[in-house]
Amino acid sequence: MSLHQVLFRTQPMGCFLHISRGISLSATLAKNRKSGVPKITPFRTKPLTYEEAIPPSRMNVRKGWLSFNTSNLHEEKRAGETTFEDFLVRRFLTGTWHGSLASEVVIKRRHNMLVLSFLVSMERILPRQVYFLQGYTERMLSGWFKMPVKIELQTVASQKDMIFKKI
Amino acid sequence: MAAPLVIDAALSKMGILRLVPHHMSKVTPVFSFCKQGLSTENQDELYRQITVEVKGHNPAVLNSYQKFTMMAAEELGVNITKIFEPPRVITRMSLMKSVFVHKKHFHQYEMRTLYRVFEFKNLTGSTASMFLEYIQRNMPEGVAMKVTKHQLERFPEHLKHPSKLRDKTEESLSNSLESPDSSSLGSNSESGSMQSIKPSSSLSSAHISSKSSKTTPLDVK
Repeated sequence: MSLHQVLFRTQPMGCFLHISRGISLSATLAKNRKSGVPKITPFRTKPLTYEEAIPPSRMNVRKGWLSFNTSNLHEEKRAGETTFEDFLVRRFLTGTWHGSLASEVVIKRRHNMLVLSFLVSMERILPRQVYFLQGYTERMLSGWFKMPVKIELQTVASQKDMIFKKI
Repeated sequence: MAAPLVIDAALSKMGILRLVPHHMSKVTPVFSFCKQGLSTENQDELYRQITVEVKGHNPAVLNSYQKFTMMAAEELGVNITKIFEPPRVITRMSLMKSVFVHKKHFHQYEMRTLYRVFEFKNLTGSTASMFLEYIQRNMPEGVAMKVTKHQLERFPEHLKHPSKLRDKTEESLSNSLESPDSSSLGSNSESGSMQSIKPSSSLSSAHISSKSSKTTPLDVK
């Protein structure tokens, strides 16, 4: 490659990089990365659920929240404890349900009760296991949090049913 | 299912365990006032006004809860006098976008709290406890409630109206408790209590109650 070609970028720069063995660590390659917005793949192979596909800017327009409680209302107490309980619930359920959780967990608080709603994919789990895990989760969580916990789950045949679009 | 904490607090505050049937409160006679003075053990409590303030983030949820409350009050014969929406409160925070450095770039967050107030007038304790329990059990998630009760109490016997004191200047004040004057005052209060008992008995029926409570005013003096 001549100096003229390098300076005026007439040839693709890849060959220039091979010669100089440069490694690009600049932030220019990672620009425009926002949270909650997945990166497009060249052949549109990445599947997204409805929840993942809608960006956070469309909150309360096309997407709702996952946690319903009164702790963030004006002059209401218990914001920190509620948030921590939500975090614990989500981690516990992700681990207990062996990868068959097909959706995010929706946590609703009515008075003293905790109501958890989510979808379970029946790909790698039997119905009797679902019943057992539901009772186990309810019992363990209500013992730890000291509040009644109810689980409302629906089943889905496989994870493929949850795909909204491919990006 | 565990009973909601709000209901337990409300009931213990009122001093009654559960619903008192109306036919029992009707029978508790005026005669008890002669002997016991201020005791309200068998007597149903009377509320001039109950204010229910409901808070939420979502206006659609509050609208539907308002519709539900209005329907429930109409069906159960509870008198709603006023429903209004106080101005919303928005809490704003500016938090840094980046975890490290970049102080110039902030994210703006806000938390909106919307209010709705219902005013119910002239209820008895049993009606109030039943109605409030129904309303609270059917409250949607993400909605908080504050209940303010304005209760009618008997005027204390040791406090007298100044005009009554001026009429009995020759008799000493120390004898006032034992004197026939107190009984006359007592009879006045009894008549007041008789007036107050009448509407409570009529409030037991469903649809007629709202009309009758408007016509008979509750005055305890």
